[in-house]
Amino acid sequence: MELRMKNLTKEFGGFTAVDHLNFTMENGVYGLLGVNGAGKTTLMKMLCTLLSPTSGEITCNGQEILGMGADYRRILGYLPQEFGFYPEFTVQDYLSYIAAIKGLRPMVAKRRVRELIEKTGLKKAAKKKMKKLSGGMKRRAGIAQAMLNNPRILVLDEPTAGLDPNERIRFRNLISELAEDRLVLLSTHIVSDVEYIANQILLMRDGRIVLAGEAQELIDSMEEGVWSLYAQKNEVSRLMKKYKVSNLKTGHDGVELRIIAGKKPAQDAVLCDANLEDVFLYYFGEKAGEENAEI
Amino acid sequence: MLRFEIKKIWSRPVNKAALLLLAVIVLTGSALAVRDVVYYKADGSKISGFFAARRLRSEKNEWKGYVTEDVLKKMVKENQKACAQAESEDGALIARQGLSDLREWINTGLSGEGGYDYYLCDRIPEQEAASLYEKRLALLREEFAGQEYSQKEKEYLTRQYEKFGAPLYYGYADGWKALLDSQYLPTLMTITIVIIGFLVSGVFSCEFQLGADSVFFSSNYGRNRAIHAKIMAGFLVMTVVYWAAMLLFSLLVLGLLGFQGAGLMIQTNDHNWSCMYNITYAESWLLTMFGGYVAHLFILLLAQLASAKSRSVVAAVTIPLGLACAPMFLGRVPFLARVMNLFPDMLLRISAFLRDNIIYEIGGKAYGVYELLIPVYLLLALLLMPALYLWYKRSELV
Repeated sequence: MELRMKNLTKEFGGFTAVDHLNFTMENGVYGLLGVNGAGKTTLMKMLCTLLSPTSGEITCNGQEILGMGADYRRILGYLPQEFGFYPEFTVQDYLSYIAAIKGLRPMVAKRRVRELIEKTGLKKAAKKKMKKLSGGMKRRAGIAQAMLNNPRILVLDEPTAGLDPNERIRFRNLISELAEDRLVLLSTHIVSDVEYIANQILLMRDGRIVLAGEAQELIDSMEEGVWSLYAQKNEVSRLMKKYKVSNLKTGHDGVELRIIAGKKPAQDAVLCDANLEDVFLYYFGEKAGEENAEI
Repeated sequence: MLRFEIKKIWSRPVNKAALLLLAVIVLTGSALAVRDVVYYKADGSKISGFFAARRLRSEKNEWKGYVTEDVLKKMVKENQKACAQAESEDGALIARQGLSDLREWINTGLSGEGGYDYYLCDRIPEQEAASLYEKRLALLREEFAGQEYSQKEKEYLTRQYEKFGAPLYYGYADGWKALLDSQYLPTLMTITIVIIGFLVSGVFSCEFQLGADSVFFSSNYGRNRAIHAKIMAGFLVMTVVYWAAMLLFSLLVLGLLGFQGAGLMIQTNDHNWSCMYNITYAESWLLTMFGGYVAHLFILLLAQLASAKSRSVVAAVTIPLGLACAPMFLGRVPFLARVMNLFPDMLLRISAFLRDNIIYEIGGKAYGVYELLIPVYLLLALLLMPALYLWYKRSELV
């Protein structure tokens, strides 16, 4: 399975959401990281044929996906960021309906619905109305619907948004389990999600993929170091203005800061191992602050 | 898919409430229509509904059969005798309930230029009453000569009147009259279209409203068969609810007042005496129901198209309301009346407007308004289905 984006561009009025993007994906888990407005959702909507490109194209194994129509959608599973459902349907009805519009034969649909209800831990809630489910259960129903047709391409837009830590861990494990032998594109602004499960991480900014690679490759690509230091509270403001601060921890003796800088920011600063959150801050700078509020 | 689309509609509690409301309106409407049939007992007390119908049936059926010149003479003689014997006007009314319909034929059919004369039958010579059919065409010509018809339209009207088959066959038909010649049926149709509009308002817009559009359109059948299922679900709900409401209303009214009279010409009701459509009550029922169905199809499909385009239920609710009600009021403005008579709401009021003899001359040929409206709106409704499909299929989700 190969998805190729060639000069892919999407404009809304004068705003370019996706800007001449060129990238090729094969089987594996891809984590798409970027701040709000980076173009992640627009890119995913184009990958799911919900939006047509202003220019450029997306091909699947060499065929243009809009031209493939239903043949492409047959191998596609999509969990949108704003996952809507029919509130009066039970989980079983909802999944059975989605199975029907995905073109599964009734017998196959019945079996797949049963399997996925079990796999996503929704067995006890199968007869519950969708509107009665908790946020985590709704997301599980969302991943179940995306998996119904056993898709070769699975697109997950912010799948863990709004979940509590336990749910997020469960969800990440579930995605990892489902990711075998298929192409999974996972968009998120929660760095730790992709750190654990993505084989390849794509950093997206202003409609372009600015960097792609494995987590360590991305970390290695940083041209600055990550430093840990203790400072007095009255110094924090000055340091934050001067450096990119990826973490702050207030203690009894002062504040522990994690700073990204090209050279040692203070005499007692200690060089430490960088992680993906540092990479995120390094590449997205101040814009990342708002996003990292959820990290 | 179809099953789930229908389930989406009926799973909404508000839609169940709307259907319940429609059922209550049908029951209330039929009760009111039945109650309008009244009979005065010898002591002057009034009974209505089923029991009144039973008495009237018995008395009116004494005149059952072809109303020939001899029958008209006999009726006038008996009417005048009853008048003479009655001690009061109320007493005369009570005594003549069985021949009240035939009496009104004379009052309406022979009043001529002076306008309707309620007492004409009480004083008319028998021989003159016998000329009812003979004078019909001439008197109706006089009537429409003063109206704004073109030459072609007048010719059309004359041809229709000439097709009128005399003598008329008469019998009890108060059930059909209560059903078709009252305002309850058009009112019910107007309410039905608004309620069905409400029911189907979410068929296309719900995906956007609920945020389920992304999953829907990215699925295998999301841009083909699933849209067919939506169109079919809307069509089935429209069809089933409309016909269920209309059949229930008709069966209740006719069940309580009697099915007799289906084969009688609608002109046997004096209100329809000048009607140019030479049809029976059964044919009038079919025409009214089918015309109403065409209006429902057209208006509701248009509403769904607007709802699919605007991605909002507002259009689907307001379009039926606007199209079913607004022309009714705008049509009262004299210079708008001719245009408003071509709006689809006219099909919701066929039974009420049949007697108005609305004619249009198009390309040198005259047509009755319903000869135009029914095929035109049926065709438009059929065209709206593929339009709805194509429009929805091309939806992009920004």
